[in-house]
Amino acid sequence: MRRALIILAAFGMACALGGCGFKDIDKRFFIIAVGIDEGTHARYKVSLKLAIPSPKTEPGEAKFQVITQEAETIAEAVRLSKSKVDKEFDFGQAQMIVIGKAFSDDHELGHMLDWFFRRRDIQMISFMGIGVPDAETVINTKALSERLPGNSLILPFSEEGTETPYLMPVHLFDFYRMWKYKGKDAFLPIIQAEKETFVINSVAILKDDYKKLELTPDETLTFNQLSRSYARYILKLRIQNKLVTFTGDRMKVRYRIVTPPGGPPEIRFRIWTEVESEDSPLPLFDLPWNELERLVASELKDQMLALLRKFQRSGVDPIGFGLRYRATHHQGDSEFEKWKEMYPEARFVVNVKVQFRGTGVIK
Amino acid sequence: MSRYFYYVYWLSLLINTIYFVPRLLMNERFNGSVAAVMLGAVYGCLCAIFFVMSMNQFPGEGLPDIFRRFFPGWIRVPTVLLLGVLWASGGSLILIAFSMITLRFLSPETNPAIMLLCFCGLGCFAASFRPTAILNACEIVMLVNAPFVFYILYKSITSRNLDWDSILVLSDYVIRKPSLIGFAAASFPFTGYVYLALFNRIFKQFKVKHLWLIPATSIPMVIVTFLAPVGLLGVDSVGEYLYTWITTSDTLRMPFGFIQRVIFLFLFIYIGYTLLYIAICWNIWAILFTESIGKKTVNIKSHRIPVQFLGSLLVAVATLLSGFRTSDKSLIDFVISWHYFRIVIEVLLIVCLVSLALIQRRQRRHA
Repeated sequence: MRRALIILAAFGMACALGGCGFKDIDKRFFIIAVGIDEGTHARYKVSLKLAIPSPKTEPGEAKFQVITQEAETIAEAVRLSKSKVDKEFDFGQAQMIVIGKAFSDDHELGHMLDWFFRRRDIQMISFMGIGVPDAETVINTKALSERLPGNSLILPFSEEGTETPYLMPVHLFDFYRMWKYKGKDAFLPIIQAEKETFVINSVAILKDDYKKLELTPDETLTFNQLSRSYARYILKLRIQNKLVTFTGDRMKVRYRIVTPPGGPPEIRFRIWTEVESEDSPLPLFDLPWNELERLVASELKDQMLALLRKFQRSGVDPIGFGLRYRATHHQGDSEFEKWKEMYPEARFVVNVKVQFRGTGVIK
Repeated sequence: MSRYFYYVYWLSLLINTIYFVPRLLMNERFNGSVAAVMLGAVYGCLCAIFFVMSMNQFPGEGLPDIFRRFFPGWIRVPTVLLLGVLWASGGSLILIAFSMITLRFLSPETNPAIMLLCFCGLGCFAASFRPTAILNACEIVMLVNAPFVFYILYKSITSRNLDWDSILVLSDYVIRKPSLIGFAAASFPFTGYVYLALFNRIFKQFKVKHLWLIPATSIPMVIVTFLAPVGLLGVDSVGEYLYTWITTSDTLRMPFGFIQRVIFLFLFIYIGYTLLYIAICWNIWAILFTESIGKKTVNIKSHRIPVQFLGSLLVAVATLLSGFRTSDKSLIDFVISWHYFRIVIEVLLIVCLVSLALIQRRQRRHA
């Protein structure tokens, strides 16, 4: 009798549980990407990319729908968009947050995005980027080869698909912590929408919530090397007046902040890398290899110094020197204020050691 | 057989993330929580070792049996009941916390009342088992989930996004006076040993061995639970998250997993751990309750109802009622007062038990 009662009770309770909140998967719209633009009538224009599930997963068969809504807050825009569709929104798959270029130019980029940080169902690992010409166009762009909706934008960011040295993916949690860090400035990759593809090859750097600096593709590559030791880079060099291309294979970037008494602080980089030549009109094999190594090293050094000085001049610190200073010096809370005074005077010393690995399969 | 002790011990070690231990520590990260973690680890390990060594002096006896030999009834019964309330409320707390977490992260559209009812019902059911059954369940759950736990820990400390500079910033704040709540929170992960107070009855022929495992497993675990959120969420912003470790697990990604968000793996593991922990806490409470009453069954309208079941029903109903009225804010206040309550009772318990063990040893020597 007692056992029967328990089983009955358990069964009753199980019936009361209705997984997925009583809404089946076919009554839901999965949002793949969210775009934020400046509205013409209101503060925000929010574009949502809704995936349309289809039985075919063939190249170019991905289907989606974009809903756009203007409102004073993101939350309001989402609620208003809900009345334009027949199914319930599900943000659990939202992997891409695109901020329009115009929006990012003159808006503060921290508190304005609070909705994303606060919502429980937005993944902390979703990717962020600035969309050119605007977020809506980026959201609407569909690559020809796309098998799943939105996938062609997500694959490069997750580095599961193409891997390029010109892309520095930023996750939502990473953006949030960089925004809050004392001693490191946030950055966002710039996504340019073309007709049937995307170009992602530059980075925008923020200072105190506002966009301050945009890097060129070459600078982005150097930034990628400096901040993530990104190894698969490319380097063009003139040797005997001919253009030779080298590719990086492995790379280690370390730096230290030295504060000599009296003098300005020094940021000392120690870089070690392995390169191979990839494209050369010259027969490189018979040239002295240590000479090649020296040339590559000095070119790398020049690029890096130029970028570091550019950062310093603009007063941004996306590599996190300030954070490193706080981590390695022991003065408590006053450190960061001190660093802010020291950073404009800091000297950069870059030491590059190059190992030339070979000339490919021919001489 | 000492492994059963370690399962329960490790369970409390792992469950600390749900007990808001990381969040309480993060609140004071610039104000002495590094020192609190260090002191808490030393204190916790010493307490665990002293407690286990003392219990080893009383083979096959639980805390109520020991107290029965040394204290009169008017001291024993209230003391045992007080301990029971401490552990029962610990279980209730984690139940409410986890039902809130489930509502927020797993199934936001479920009715909170039904969710609480299900959790309470399950806990109440499990609490009326025999302790051996609970220990066996503990072994299964621990072993099944262990690979996933190691995977998540491994992922978090090898993550490319783990920012070591952010962790090292804390090095400036080591020499700060820790607050009592920081210390209490930091010592919580080590408290799994107290459940030996009752499970010792099952350990008749053997003693708990390999005590070196206590510091060897718990200190690295506590360090990871404290430092990984700092590295992943950033030293300046980690204090802003309400459910520190759940968000930390959301910063990890399994590109080739069946699901790419580690958070779901984390939540599913912790459902198992939470229910198990509730079962252990409430089971101990129910047994202590039965023994304080002194009767095994009572007759209600000619039905013989076991007192143990009544005890677990009592705590389940109390949890249900308080769960309805709890919010994120009142929960953390309650957790803080519970940690204070726990640390005071625990210090008294250890002092009392160690002295009883010394008396017992002297008696045995002279006899």
